Amino acid sequence: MSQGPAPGLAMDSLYTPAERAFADEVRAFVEAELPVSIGERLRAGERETREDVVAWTRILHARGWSAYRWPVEHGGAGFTPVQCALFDDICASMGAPELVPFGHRMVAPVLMRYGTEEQKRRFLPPIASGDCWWAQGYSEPGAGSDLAGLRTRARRDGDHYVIEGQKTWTTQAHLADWIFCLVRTADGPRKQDGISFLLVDLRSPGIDIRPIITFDGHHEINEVWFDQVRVSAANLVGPEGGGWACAKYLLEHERLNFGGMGFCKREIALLRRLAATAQRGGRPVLEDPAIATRLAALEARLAGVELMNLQVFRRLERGLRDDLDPPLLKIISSHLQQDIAELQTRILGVHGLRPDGVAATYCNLRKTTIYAGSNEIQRNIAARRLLG
Amino acid sequence: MTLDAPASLAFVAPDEYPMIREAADRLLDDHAAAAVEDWPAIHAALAEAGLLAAPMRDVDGAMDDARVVALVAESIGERGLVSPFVVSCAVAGRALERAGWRAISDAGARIARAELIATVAWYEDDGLLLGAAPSARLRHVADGLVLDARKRAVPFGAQAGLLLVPARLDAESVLLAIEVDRGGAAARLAKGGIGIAPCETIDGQPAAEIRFDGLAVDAGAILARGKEADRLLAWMRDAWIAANCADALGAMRRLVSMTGEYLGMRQQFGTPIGQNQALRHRFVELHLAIREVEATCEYAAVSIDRVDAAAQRARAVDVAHHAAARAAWRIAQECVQMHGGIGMAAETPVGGYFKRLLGFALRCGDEDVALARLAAFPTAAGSAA
Repeated sequence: MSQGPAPGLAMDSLYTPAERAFADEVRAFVEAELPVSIGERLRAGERETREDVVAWTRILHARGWSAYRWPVEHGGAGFTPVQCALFDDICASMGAPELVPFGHRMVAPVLMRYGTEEQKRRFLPPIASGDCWWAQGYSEPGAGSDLAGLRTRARRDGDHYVIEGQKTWTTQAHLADWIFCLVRTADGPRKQDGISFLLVDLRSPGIDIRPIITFDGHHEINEVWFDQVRVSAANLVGPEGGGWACAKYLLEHERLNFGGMGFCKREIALLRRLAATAQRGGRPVLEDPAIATRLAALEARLAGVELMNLQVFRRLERGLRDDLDPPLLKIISSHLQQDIAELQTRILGVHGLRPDGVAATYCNLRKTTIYAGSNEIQRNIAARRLLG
Repeated sequence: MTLDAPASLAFVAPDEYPMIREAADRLLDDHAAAAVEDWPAIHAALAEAGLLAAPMRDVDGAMDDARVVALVAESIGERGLVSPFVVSCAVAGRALERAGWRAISDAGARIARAELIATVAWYEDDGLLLGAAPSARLRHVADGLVLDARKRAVPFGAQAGLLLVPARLDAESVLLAIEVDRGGAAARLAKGGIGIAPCETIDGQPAAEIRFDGLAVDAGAILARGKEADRLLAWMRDAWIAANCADALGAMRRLVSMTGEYLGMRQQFGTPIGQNQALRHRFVELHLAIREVEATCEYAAVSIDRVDAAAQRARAVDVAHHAAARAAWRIAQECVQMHGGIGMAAETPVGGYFKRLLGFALRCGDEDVALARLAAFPTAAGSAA
C-alpha cells in the first residue's frame, strides 16, 4: 500500500523531522480508525458512498481533524499547507473517502474571509461535523467557462431575496443540504458587477433537483431549478453585488488545493496491481516493456507534480503567493489523473469494459480538465499573467 | 509551526544561496558577450570568486554541496556560456575527493583555482553516457598495465590536464585518472600511445576524440576498481546529469523569456502575435514544463550528496532527467517555431539555445534513456505490494 511520497521519493529530503512525525501519526490514525471495508473498496477503485463519507467525517471530527484545513480560531486543526498536503495524501492513498469539498474547502474559506460573525457561527460547525452537506451553484446552461455571464436572478423583497433561474452540473446537489449560489442582483457596467453570493437551503420551496446521468453511467451531477425561491437576506455573503470577489477567492482556493496527489497515488498503486495480475501471452502485463515504460513515465510525472506542489507550499509558508500557481497546478494535476485512469483501462484489453470497473473511472475523469474552470480557461489566466 | 529544517531539505534554501546565485549572475553578466575561446577567462573569474571551490569538499572555501553546483550551472546555462565548470569541478573534482585520490596531491586545489581542467571520458562508439559496458580495456602486460580505448566527444578533452577514464580490467570496472600535459602529447603517470584530436560540437563546446593505443598506465592511476568503481561511476553519472539539468533549466528559462518578449513585440495583422490564443496556450505549456524541471532538478541536486541512499539518488536524478529532457526538446522546438523565420537566423541567440538544449539531451541521454532506467527501478516494482 502506498502511503508516503510518490514511489521512490525520499521523505527525509522533503520533510522536516516534525513533519515526518506528523505523517507517521496520521498514518497510524488512518490505519487504526478507517473502517477496513471502506479502505479496501476505495483502494480497489470503487467510488465512495454518502455513508462512507459520513462515517469518515465523524471519525475525523472525533479526533479534531474533520476541518483540518481551517485555522484554529474557526475550529480547525491549524495544519500548515505542507501538513494539509501530507494529510490529504496519506488519507487518500490509504483509501479514505474525500470529505465533501464544497463545504470544507470551498464555502468555508469564503465564510471565514467574507462572512458575518453570525454566518460563521451558524454554518461552520455543521460543516466540520459533517452534519451539513453543501453543493456549489456556479455553472449555468449559458455560463460555463464564461461564469460571469450567469443569468440566475435574485430580486430583493423586504428582508428576503427571491431567486429565479437554473444552475447546472451541480455535483452532489441530490445529497446536499445547502447550496451556495452566484446570482445576479443587478446589471452593472461590467458583467462581473451585480453578482451576489447567496446561501440557500436546498429544502426551500421552489427548488427542483433533476439528475444528470454522466456517460460513465453514474449520477453525480444535477440541474438545480429555482422557481421563486425565498432566501433570507441574512444569507447574503459579502456586500450585495460583491459576489465576484467571493467567487474568485473560492476558485483560487479550489485550484490551489486541486492536487489530488493522494488520489493519484491510490490509482497508480491500483494500476500496478492490475498490471501485475492481468495476463498477456501467459505473462503479467507489467512485464511488457512498453507497458512498464508507460507506467514508469506516469510515476515520474507523479513525482514531478508532487515536487511542484511541495515547492509551492514551501513558498506559501514564507508568505510568497503567486497567482500563476493555481492555474498551472490545476492543468498538470488534472491531466495526470486522466492519464493514470487511461492506462488502467488500456492494459486490461476487453476486460476493461466492465461497466463498474476502471473504464467507468476513465470515462468519469474526463471531467477533471473541464471542471473548476476548464484547462483552456486556466491557460487563459496563466497567459494573461505571463504575456499581458 | 517553525521549520526545523536541515540544510538538505528540498525547497528550503539556506540563507547563503541567493548571495551565491547573485554573485554568479553578476560575474557571468560581465562575460555575457564572450566568444567560445574566452572560456578560460570566465573560468578564472569563477575561481577568483570562490565559485569553483564552493561545490568541493577538501579545498579552501569548500561547501561540499551539489545545490551550489546547480546554482552556478543554471547561471552559466542561462547566459549560454561555454564553461568546463560542470565537468571539471562538479563531477571530476568532486569524484577525486570521493575516491580519496592522492596521486596528484594538489589536484583538487588546482581544479578549484582553475589551474587544472579535469574531464571525464564518458562516451564511446555507442554515443551513450556510460553505455552498457565500456570497450576501453586495461590489460596486464609483462611490466605492468596498458590501456586500449577509443573515447568520443570528451568534453574539453584537448584542454584538460587530467582525464578520468572508465575502463574494464579483467572482469571488473576501473576508473583511471590519467594526467596529460597541456599539449596532450605526453603523460606523467602514463607513457605510450595517446592521440588527442580536438573538435567542436554543434553547440560550440570544445571536445576531443581520444585514442589510447597500448598506453602504459601506472597502477597509481587507478582511481577505483570493482564495486567501488561502479559506485563512483554511478555517482558521477548522477552528478553529471543533475548539473546538466540545472544548466539546461537556465537555458530554457532564458529561451522562453526571450520568446515571451518576442510574442509581445512582433506585430502581424496589426496586433502582437502574443494576442493569439493558440500561441498563448502553447506558451503557458512551456512555462509549466519549466516549473516541473525546476522542482524535480532541485530535488535531484539535494539527492546528489546523500551518500547513504544511492538508489534514491538515482531515482531523483532519473525523475529530473525525464522532465528536463522532455522539456528540452519541446521548448527548443516551440521557441524556434514561435519566433518564425527570425528564429532560424544564426544572428539571433535563439538557435544557440536550441543547440545548447540539443547538446544537453544528447550528452545526458534523451527521455527514453531516463524512462528505461525508471522502468527498471526496483522500489517502483516493489511498491505493488
